[in-house]
Amino acid sequence: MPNLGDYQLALKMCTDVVAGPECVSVMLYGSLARNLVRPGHSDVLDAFVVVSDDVLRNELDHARLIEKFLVACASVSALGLPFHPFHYYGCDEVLTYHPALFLPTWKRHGFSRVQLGRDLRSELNTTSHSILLARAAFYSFCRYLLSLGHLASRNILTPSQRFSIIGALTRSRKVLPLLVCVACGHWVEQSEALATLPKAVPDCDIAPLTSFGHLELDSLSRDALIQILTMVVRCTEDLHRAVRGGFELER
Amino acid sequence: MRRDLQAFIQAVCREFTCVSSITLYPAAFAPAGLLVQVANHEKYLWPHIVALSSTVPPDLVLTCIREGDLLELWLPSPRTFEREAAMMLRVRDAGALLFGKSVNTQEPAHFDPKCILAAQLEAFTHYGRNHIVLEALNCLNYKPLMHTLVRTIDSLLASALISRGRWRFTHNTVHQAFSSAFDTPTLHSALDKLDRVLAILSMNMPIDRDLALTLSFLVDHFSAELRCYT
Repeated sequence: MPNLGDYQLALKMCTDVVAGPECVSVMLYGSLARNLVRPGHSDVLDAFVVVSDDVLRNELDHARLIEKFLVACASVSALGLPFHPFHYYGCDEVLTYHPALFLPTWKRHGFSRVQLGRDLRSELNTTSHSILLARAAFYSFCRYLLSLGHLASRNILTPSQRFSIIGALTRSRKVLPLLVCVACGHWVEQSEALATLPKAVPDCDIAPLTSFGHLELDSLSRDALIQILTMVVRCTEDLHRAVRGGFELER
Repeated sequence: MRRDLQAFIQAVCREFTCVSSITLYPAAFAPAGLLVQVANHEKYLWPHIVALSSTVPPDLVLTCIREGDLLELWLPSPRTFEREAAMMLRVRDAGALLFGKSVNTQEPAHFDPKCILAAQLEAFTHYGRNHIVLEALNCLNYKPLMHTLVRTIDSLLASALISRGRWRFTHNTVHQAFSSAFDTPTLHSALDKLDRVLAILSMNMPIDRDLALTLSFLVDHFSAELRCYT
């Protein structure tokens, strides 16, 4: 069973490898940044590695950088923790085009941490396009869930169809509350989203979004998965009705 | 009209109390689509979509929406652009009305086609680099990576074209359409390099790590060049 030390080790291994003249900053978000790691459940590595822009513009430098990142990925993933690779950006990119959806993580106190190099958090900026994209993402997510309707009518699910449903449920649990909040104009950090939902959509029953959080979705039967999916989509349709009032589209 | 489409229309009309329209529209990279527009009083769409799924012709994709929510289809989406962003342009300019009244395809005030390109670039920079490129290279999944990067290139080209109001391209013509719409030498040079790698891929040569790294760089470089058009 992994312990907190494994997470600290993963972080150290990664920063040791990516450190170098081209590395401007390594910034953490998520449970590791907030000291709320749940060993075995929390994933690594929620991090932004910011590099000098020149490195991304030259093919040889880019290849060297990616090889370096892969060494970091290989050493961290070998620890056996739930792993996904970190984000990487050029310095100009992250200062100009940071996705609006995730800006609260860096701008609000206590949700992020600088692990290495410069503290860029106060300089991060976004664009009007990204703000619109963030506010519109909820509507796209609703259509994505509805597009899974053809799976619910199948008596037998193939492994890839099960994978699609489990992916949709996992994403619903993880990002749907944030998308609802942002669509309603509440720019909160991802971890605050669930608690903010009653304020953003006061008359909605959001219990279905949390009711399956304790379940191991991979081990559920076809019927159980479809039942949860149906419950989540129904809740999302209720949220959709409520959100429409919060983000009036210009006509 | 195709028999399976007739059967689908009948099924839709049985399923919903009030169907405003059913429109068939073409797509460039994905199957063509059916846009079903229903009355605003339909509270839940999910049970109807589930019930209809067996009647949707297998070569078509169903999108079902309430009349009052139609403007949502003009909004940018972080999802695959082809189904989402160009849908209303294709419905407007090439849609075939199969049932009911014409869809209101008037562009809303918020519609900014450049936002579609910006959404694709954000998706690649924020999710593509780590979840596609690093993850695949880390797992030595070179072939799926190349496949995904080729689709990414198509998406970037297409969204760049749509950002200039052009959507009349197909999978086979998108590179040429892009070249004639964007005459910037740096973009052309970036696209030429991409095309050379794509030509190697089309010869079914073995895909190794170096080729995967090269294509990853070229896509990254190309997306950076496209930034100034957002």
